[in-house]
Amino acid sequence: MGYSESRDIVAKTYEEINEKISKGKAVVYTAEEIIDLVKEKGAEQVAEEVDVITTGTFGAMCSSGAFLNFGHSDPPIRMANIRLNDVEAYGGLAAVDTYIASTSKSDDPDGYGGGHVIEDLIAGKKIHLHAWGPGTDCYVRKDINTYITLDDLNEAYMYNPRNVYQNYNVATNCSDRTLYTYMGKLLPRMKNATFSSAGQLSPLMNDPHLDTIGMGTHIFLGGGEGYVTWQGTQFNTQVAEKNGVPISGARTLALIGDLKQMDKDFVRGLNVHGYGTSIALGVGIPIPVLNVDVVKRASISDEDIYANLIDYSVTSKSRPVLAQYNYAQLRSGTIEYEGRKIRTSSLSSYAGARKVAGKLKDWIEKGEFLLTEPVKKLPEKSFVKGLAVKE
Amino acid sequence: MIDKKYKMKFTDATLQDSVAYTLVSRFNIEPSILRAEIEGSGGILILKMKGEDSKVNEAIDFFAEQGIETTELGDHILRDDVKCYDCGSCVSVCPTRSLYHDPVTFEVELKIQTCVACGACISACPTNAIKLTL
Ligand code: SF4
Ligand code: SF4
Repeated sequence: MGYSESRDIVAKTYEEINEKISKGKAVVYTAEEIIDLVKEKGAEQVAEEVDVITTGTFGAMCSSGAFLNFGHSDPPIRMANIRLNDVEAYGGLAAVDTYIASTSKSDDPDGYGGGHVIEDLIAGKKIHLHAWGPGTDCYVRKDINTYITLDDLNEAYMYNPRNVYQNYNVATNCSDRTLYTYMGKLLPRMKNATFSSAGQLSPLMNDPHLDTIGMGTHIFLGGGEGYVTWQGTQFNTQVAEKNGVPISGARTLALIGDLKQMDKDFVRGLNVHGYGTSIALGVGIPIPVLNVDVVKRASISDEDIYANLIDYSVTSKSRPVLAQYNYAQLRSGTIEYEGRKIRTSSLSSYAGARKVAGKLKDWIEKGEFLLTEPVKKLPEKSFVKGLAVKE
Repeated sequence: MIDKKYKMKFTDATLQDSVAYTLVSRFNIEPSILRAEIEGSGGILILKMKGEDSKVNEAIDFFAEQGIETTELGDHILRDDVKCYDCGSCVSVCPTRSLYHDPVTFEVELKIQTCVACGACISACPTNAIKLTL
């Protein structure tokens, strides 16, 4: 049997896969489980037997936040200056709409920010709303001081301009002092290194050129359902690859999801010491097994995915690459650089990524979650421009 | 034979210098100082004592008479398992590898017995899940 022939045999459509899902008969594996299955049975056989591969990641995603609508008070107010648990939310939308961003921060010394507000909303906690407005003929009220819960809100949905970065740097610190960065605590003289991707489980590592993931893809976001809405900001297709996957930050996704469906187990407000507040989110994307190539790409393992070691004590934008490691090395706890051992820390939760991929698998197996065919492909060519400082 | 970690609380910082010497010479106890945090008016010392049970108890009484309070370290570090999401940010900064990934589940475990209460993990944790209760 020739290669092209075998491909034809296993070609499946979204409709066929969804029909199996609806009947509760779809065969689903996680992107981690599929690795050994492909080693054992070969990609062709697996493509025939498996319908969906689920991916997952659970890590810090700063470019995240939520749109909220409070409803109108009596008399009504046009909120221009808004605080949620003392965290500033955007006051430039219509009267009672706002956007609460994960990195917006209160003055709280323990580091409470927008990510925590979102986590607390999802947990069902009462949130203090304090807002001021100019007072107009139609919106006479000038300030409001009250409490809200997620249930009180008309709409609450997360909209994240940049999530699930396809690969990222490994950070270390060659200087003599401890650095507190968005890549975590970096001890002096290369005593440790941090990395952030879920590697073999990470969504965009398993479909590196976005053959199946596009605008409209139905996803798992923070424990509820969501969709891919656009390419994420700083979407970059021009990154060097190894084994078919980029070796540094490349593609990203803009995501939307219903806050009211979300689960606290997959959402965490973060306070990254010395950097600021953020949010960690669990994101899972299903990959439909349309053909053998999909399986081959999704069966990539940590040994074959590489990332660059970068010195974060260099503050200019172009930092030299010190070395390259694969994710199996990174996850082992130590890497070697010029004869010395450097201890490694993951910044995103691999245990959490597994839970996300596992939960999504569970939904699909039970027939509760259908796949969508993208309505638009994300750009095949795109690069990132810098910002020139002009006089 | 006792081989345990203790916290000593001083109100007079000058006493601190003599602790290790006293332990060795008077009580035949092998001390190792894990952490010292001394300020003008006093401070704390985290140390390991290895020696005869009776001698360790005698030493503790002896220091108590001088106003040094000694307590065994047990729950000196607390991790909130609800806040912790097993990210691993704390793992590579822990000098004693008391925070580590379970090789099978990849969950982050804390081994209290080997923790020397250095505090390095606290500022590495983005969920403020770790607290020292010294
Ligand atoms: S305080 Fe934290 S970093 Fe220090 S030894 Fe204990 S667990 Fe490790
Ligand atoms: S850094 Fe904090 S949240 Fe992350 S694994 Fe350690 S204790 Fe848990």
